[in-house]
Amino acid sequence: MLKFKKHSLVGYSLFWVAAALVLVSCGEQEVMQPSSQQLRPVTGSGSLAEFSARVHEETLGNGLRIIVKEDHRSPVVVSQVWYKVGSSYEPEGITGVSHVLEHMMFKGTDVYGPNEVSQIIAANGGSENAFTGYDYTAYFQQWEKSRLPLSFEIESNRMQNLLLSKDEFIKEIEVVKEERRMRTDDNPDAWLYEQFGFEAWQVSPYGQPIIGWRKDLDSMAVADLADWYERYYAPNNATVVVVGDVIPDEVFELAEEWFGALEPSQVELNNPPPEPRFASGRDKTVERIARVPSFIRGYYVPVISADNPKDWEPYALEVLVYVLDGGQSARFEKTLVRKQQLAASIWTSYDATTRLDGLITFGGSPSQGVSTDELIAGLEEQLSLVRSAPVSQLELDRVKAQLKAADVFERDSVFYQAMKIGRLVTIGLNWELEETRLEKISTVTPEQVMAVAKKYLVANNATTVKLSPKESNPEDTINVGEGA
Amino acid sequence: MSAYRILRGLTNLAVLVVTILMLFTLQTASAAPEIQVWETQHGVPVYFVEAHEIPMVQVSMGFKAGSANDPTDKLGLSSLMSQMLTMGVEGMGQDSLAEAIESTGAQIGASSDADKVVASFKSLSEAGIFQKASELFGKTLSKPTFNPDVLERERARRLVGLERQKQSPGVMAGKAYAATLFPDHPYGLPASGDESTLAAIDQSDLVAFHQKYIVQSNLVVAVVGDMTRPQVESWVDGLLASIPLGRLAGDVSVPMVPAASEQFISFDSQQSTILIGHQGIPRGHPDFIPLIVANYILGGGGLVSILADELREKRGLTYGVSSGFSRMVSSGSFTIRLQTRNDKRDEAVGLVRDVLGEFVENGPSEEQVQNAVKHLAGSFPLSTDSNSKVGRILMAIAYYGLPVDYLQTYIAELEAVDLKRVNQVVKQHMRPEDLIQVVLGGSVTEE
Repeated sequence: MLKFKKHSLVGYSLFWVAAALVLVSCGEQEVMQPSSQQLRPVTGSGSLAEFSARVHEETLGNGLRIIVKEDHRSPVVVSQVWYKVGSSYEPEGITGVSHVLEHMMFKGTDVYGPNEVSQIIAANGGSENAFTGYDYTAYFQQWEKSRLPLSFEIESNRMQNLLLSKDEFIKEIEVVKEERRMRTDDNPDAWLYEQFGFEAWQVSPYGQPIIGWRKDLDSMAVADLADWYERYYAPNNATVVVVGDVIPDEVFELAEEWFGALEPSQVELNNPPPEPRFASGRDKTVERIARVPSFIRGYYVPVISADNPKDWEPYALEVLVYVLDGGQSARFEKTLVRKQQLAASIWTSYDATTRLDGLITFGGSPSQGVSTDELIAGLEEQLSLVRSAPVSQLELDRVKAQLKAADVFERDSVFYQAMKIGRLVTIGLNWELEETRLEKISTVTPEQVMAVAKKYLVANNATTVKLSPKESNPEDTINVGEGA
Repeated sequence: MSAYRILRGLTNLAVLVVTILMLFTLQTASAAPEIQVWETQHGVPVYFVEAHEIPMVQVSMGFKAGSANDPTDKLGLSSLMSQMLTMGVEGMGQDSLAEAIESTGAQIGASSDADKVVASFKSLSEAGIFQKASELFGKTLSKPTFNPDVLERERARRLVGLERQKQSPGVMAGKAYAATLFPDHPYGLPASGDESTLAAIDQSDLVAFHQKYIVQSNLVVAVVGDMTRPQVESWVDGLLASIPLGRLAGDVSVPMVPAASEQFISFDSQQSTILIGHQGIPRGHPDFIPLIVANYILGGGGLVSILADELREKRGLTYGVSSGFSRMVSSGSFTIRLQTRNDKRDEAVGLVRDVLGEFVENGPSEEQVQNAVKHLAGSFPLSTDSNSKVGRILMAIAYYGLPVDYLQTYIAELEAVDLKRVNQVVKQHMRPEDLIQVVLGGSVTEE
């Protein structure tokens, strides 16, 4: 559940969605964004000034941050409220509580009845949803721009006046269990990812699934949610991001009007201890009823740190990811899929913008007649190549061209522009980093790419989990029967 | 395809410019993507929306070349052909083609459904980059090589993909449902092919399919972005110069209607996937807009629909339940879809049938209809708030021959829908006595 994977119809490449999200939508496999890699784009010349000029920020007296980005192409607005809480804040025993609370945020406050917020938004032509990740929980509406006050009216009310009725909880926890069955238990790829996370992280809360372990969902109680809500839902632990056809000063006034009177609260810091490094790599095979063997391997790596945002290593890792797997001309597709034909599918994921240290992960399924171990050996050979020689200037130029274009393409989505800002500030980074990091990426050298590969992509820093498909009981396999 | 008929009937209208006024109930606003339409000298319709705010251009080329044209023993041909367009062209193998495309930052690809193949191209509008990328795009359409070694490799990968599908309850239930809904018809067959039909495809099949269908007579073009009308005109003319005229492909036959049925498929899963529905309306049907309103109330409206309320909100039976009309050229489907734990599936199926029966029998309330119209009209600006959304709508208008003022009349027609009209279309297009039911899931003792 940690991340969604989306394959094409017949499953060539697996594309990992950038943001790790659980959506409360109505069952569509809605995914929030696009590019298979986490690389942030390099902008064209002069865009820093242009970008900064259109982003405005204010902080209310109670600590609520408001960030506004103007985009006047269409008469629409997206409003997102981001809370600094997600599955990585959860102690053992109540995993999934952030996400269950997110569901309950639609189930009634002192003003709104159960589901009434959704009805109001729908009748006003809006679309709405919410998502929970490792490091954040966020709520959003998208609608015609004159509806923005209604967003603030709703969000300011449910920031502090949630009812958490037991009757509603009893039904909603079943909905979440259904969600878990659909996303994870009945999906071998997602299930393997959950197993992998559990194996890879011994201390870090990133080893817990966002949607929660089933046993924790079974034992969860309203009191757990009430405590969580009390602790984290406060103006000084939230950021409102508004992008669209709006005038910043008007948005700030509106925010003051609706959110200004909310009381701040004492929000505890939650800083889990760092993950210990292993003396040797870890390797595990899990069996499961499935048809296609696959594997996931992760290496522990740093991410962009609020204390030291100039550290170049995360940027070099982002370039490395693109060199290896940034498209059809990148090394994995060219070599593992096409030349050696070891992989039927292969994917790479690295997110440099997380609250705690992360992983660079590789995964895939072997071609027919190839074993998972043979594919992993092929992957290792590719990694040894980036450890032993600098990448070529041609490859770097290609990566930069892709990033430059991707940056422009991303500006087409109002929603995604808001996502990028919200994610950064919610993990403690400044939204302006979006720009400085682009410059950083463009100055990464071939030697730096080699250096991070040498330092991090090494055997004793790796966790590997392989899925070995098990036959299901012959009576239970897919056989079409009549009746019912 | 009525797009051709309409456009070719308008021979005197070399230029047809329609301003789409976004009229909606909540607040007047004047975002007006202006659709420009013309035909090339050989009659290819071109639909264009000029948008200079972002320095990008996106192009969709829709060919009447969908999987409905696959010979039954070579299913997967249209889909494989589309995929292989970018896997090598004359003078460039797959590696150098990929290298050349990606070093421009452009994205080029093609996909196929039952009705059509859509080749798409997205690039920065910066002149040097656009020109280089668009030359490569043109080659993928006019000079693909369909190299036999690449075919072997892709066939093998596709077989792994088919195995992966067998791990997915949603995919397997969907395949069984489509096959029952459209018996012995291309709409019921898997567009990606299966083990035996993929094995039967060779290079000559791909070449022949490409020659026959990827032709100007089968083509509509939709362009959105940072170019001017004269630039698009000359660019399209240049691109089409290397694509043969060919002949317009025939229409997909109208499928026969199956009798009501119930089917259970045993599958190792904790949840049962339930699909219930019947054949629906094709593209261009005059009842579509009132049906959108009706379906929104029943199960199209996310958390606020009747189905979501009964199954999810009131009983916690499912994470997702929805209903929808899916439309193709010659037919369509009306489908209610949900997943629930195995031991609740009978209850869920019973409820769905009760809700639908009641909805057809008594219809929605006046207030439900008003709210649905308010939502659908009010959310309209969201459907055109980015180049990529405008591009998708433009392709639908172009390919399915919707009138160029479709967006404008859409709002007007929506607002004209009343309770009486909704009841009328519900009785006609939602038929509890005709339901096909597929349930795929595990034994009820699991968990």
